[in-house]
Amino acid sequence: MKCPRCVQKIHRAADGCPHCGFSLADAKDLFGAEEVRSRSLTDAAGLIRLDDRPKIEKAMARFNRRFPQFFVAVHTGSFRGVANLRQFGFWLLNQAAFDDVPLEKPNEGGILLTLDAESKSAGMTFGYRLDAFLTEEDTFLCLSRAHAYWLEGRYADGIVRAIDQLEKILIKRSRQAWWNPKKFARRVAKPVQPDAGPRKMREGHRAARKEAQR
Amino acid sequence: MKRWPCLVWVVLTTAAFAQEVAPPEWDEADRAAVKKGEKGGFFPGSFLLTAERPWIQADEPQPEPLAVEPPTPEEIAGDHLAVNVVPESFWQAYFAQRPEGFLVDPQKLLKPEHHAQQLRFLTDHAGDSTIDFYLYVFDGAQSIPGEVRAEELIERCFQSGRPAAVVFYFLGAPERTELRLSPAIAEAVSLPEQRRSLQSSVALASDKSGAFEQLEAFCQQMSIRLYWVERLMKGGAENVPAFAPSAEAPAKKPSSEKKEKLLAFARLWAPQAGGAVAALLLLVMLRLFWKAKAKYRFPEFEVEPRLGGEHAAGIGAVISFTNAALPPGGQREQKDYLHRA
Repeated sequence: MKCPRCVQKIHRAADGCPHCGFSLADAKDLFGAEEVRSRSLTDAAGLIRLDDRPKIEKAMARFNRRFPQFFVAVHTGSFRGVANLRQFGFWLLNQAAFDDVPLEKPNEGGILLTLDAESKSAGMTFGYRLDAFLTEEDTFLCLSRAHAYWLEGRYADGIVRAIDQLEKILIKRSRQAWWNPKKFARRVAKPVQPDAGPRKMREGHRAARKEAQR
Repeated sequence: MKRWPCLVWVVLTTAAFAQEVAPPEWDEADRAAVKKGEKGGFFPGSFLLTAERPWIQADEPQPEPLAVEPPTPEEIAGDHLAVNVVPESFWQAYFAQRPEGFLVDPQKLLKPEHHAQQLRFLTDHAGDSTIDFYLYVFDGAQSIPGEVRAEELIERCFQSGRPAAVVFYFLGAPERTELRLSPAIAEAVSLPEQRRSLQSSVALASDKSGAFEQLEAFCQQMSIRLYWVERLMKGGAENVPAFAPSAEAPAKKPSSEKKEKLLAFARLWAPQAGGAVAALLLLVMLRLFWKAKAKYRFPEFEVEPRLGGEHAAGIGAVISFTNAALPPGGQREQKDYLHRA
């Protein structure tokens, strides 16, 4: 888990980045504090041709059908050289209400693919439900699959490829989680309190527990 | 149309000219002089002009014929071997009833390993063909007793049951082989065709040197010919290959035999293989259908919110696509991202 601004590692329940102090409040200052109404496929930068939209919508629909707990959203924009894609993704996934996404799929199960037309960059952000199942390396693999298409300006094809790769990874993770859910539970377990060790030892002591029961 | 009169004129004048020009005739004086060799000397075709041979003198003594014994009836019949009748003790085993095995060799003329090999071949043939192949083995110097008539034997033993080809084979003398067909086949296959089958088998056997190699070659070719006879009986083969005792015939034989074996194997296993392939295809299709319709669920874990975000704080990778010469790993970050807000 990393900070969207300084990309330094942070602990699981940090209210703010211990390194740079970043939090959602900073992102709100930058992009706006209001909630945003959006659609899962928003091409604000005009990168996607009309003919190509059905291709992306089909890939997104297939993803949403296969993974009933998750949804995928795509947002393209031009951030004029100031906005950091990670911060923007973090902000949008927390502030946006996607009109075309069913209510039973909250933003915790969202995977947002953002494309910056100005800096020619793309990033991926995901909700808390995917914390245990997706890593930064997985998202990089998805983006690198699309890289060649985006270099040629074939944005729609690149997005479809990225979604396909995301599906493959999540199918694999689903099977792994089916066989060994504890492994994934450990990834998102609550952080251990500083005095938890000694307390456990104390509570686990048989004589002390009996005494407490009396 | 205008050419027709010219053509007619040419034909008529040619015919008339041909009638006018008579062939040359001999002058009697010239003929007599040429016969005596007095005129003209040697010239091509002179031998044909005379019935007599002028260079042979009538008074020249003729050579005496050599004193040679007249040929025996067997030599006149072309049988150069001294022929003995099959011992009577084996008649019962040979000719009493329809044999139980396909190889009839009560005299044990074949070595045990050759006997087993040949019997296996004939049994395999019976498995592949509707015509059984019965092989009676005799010594090359033996003959079938006069009391046994092959036609009677066939009618008595092979009238009923599966169609059969009965071969009387003489070890070391394949040219003496006799072929008899059971009535069901004999009606369907003409005598010339039967003869061709026998001739081709004998020809291939004659190319071999050893007695058993000859028998082996004979049986292989006869088995192939019986396959064509079988097709002929079914009415499916109009062009049964004729006997052609050419040099390449032995070379072709193994391939056709191999082909036949392959065909028989295919006929035997095709239904099972087809069923297996169909089942496999069905399984593959079911799996593809299942994969297309499958839904993947994940266990849900309680996650502590971080950085103030209520729904998400999962920060993934960022990639730039500005340089086609660099791989994705070399562009793994947004350009100047640290200077951005």
